[in-house]
Amino acid sequence: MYRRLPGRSLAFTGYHRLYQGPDHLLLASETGFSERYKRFFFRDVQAMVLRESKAQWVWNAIWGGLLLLCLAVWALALGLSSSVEVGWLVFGGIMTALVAAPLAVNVLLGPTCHCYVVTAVQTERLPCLKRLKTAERLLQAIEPLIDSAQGAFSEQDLALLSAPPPDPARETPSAVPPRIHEAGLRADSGRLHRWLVGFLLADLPFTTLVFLAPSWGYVVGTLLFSATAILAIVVAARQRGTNLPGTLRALPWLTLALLAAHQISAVAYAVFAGAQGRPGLLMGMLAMEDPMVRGMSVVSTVLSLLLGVFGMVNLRGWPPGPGAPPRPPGSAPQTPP
Amino acid sequence: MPGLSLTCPQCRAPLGAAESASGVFHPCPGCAAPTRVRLYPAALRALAAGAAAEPLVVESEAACFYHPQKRAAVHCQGCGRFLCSLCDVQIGLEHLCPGCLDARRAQGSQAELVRQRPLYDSAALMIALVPLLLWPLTFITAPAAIAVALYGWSKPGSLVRGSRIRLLLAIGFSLLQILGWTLAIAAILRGAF
Repeated sequence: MYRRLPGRSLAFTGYHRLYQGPDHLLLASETGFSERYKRFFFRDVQAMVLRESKAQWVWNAIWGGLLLLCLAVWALALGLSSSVEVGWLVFGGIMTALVAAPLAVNVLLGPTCHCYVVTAVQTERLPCLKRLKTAERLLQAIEPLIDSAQGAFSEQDLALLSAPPPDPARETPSAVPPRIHEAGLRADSGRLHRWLVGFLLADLPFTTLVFLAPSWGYVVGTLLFSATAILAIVVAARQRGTNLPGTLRALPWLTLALLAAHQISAVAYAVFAGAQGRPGLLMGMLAMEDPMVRGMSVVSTVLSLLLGVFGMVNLRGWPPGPGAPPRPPGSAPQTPP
Repeated sequence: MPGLSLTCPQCRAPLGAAESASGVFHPCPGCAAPTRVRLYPAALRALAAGAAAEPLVVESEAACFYHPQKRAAVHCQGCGRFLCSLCDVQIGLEHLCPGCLDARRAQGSQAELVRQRPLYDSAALMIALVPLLLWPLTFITAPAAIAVALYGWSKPGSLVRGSRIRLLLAIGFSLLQILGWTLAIAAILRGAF
């Protein structure tokens, strides 16, 4: 009865796949031990909207950064050691391949996108379509079915489509279609983002404390690191579907990227130091007397401060006052005069 | 323009008709993300109005079971009751009354009405395989996996996966585990360990 269509995805929300029914498109979402179904009848589909996303570039940046880091650690290890050991070469090669393979796959799969199916009463995202190539293949598969269910555009339709678009400045709020109002974004005051900025700025006094009193300052620094990571994850999850501007939305992700880079570089250096005969570093006891550890701490603190200042600047004037005009998410917030 | 009120799914900014018709990527007027719209004729057509039930003209006419003052238009193919245009729900080629529609939805017997199905085959396979990580648990989970597989054998499964391969695999793996336990217990009783 159902034919499998291109596109599938495995996410926290479940395993999604698309199927072609006799007169409808079926989105099957497997969550745990049950399967949910959504049907989009070909006769009701008004449009398919493809929206390019930046996910491919984000993953390219992550995997590319990790690849550079692997290569740098590998080169450093080879450069600093007196004799080239085969074990290091093999280990470095395997690590590089493990990071390079996903990067190559991500590049080969092509640009990413979000695909939406629009009917008269809903705009539903198809979570199984994440790549432009897959979405194109799906459209090629279902367009003949939609055409056969709906027929062709009439001459009157074509005349409507070729007419010049209405001037948005002359449109009154009542002319806006009702579903724009119904599907509004949740208002967010940016309170959690302020907390995150506070944690980022707190990195400076805590790092100073670590330098002054390494014995217990290290414990407090680790607690701050963990709390910042948890808060960043919470903020990233809570900001979905809100009216926050794109720059503020980027703050938790940049924080997580910074923390991940710091942690990875620390672990990489600890492994390297362990191979050099300093197992204390390998066990996680980062000694502040080590110049490399001190350097990494300073760089991480400076980056945290910069991120905190970036957040502070973007949080100025947020949320906008009641008289402020509506602003689409993604644009910069308005600062008060 | 009837029906054409396309908006960007992310920022809700209205997308222009000409941009929608072009079929190529255009920056969204609101968030500037490259957006492409494939428009279909349904976007430009007004929604069909629902049918209104006609009142009875003479008393001898067949009346709707749910609305005695309305003229019957069809009969329910589930229970045979007469229905006016308002009460008639068409599913595929069948005409049903609201009561039969609810009953079939509850039973899950009609594929078009199914919104969710439990997956006994996935559950049985998971119960059969995951406890292998902590193998002593298989003493309990292997029979449990067989019980779940047998319980789900006659139940309606996934709409999109017709085969019972997962149920068979779950039963097969569980039987192997039970066989292993049987051999181990027999060996212990013989004093082999």
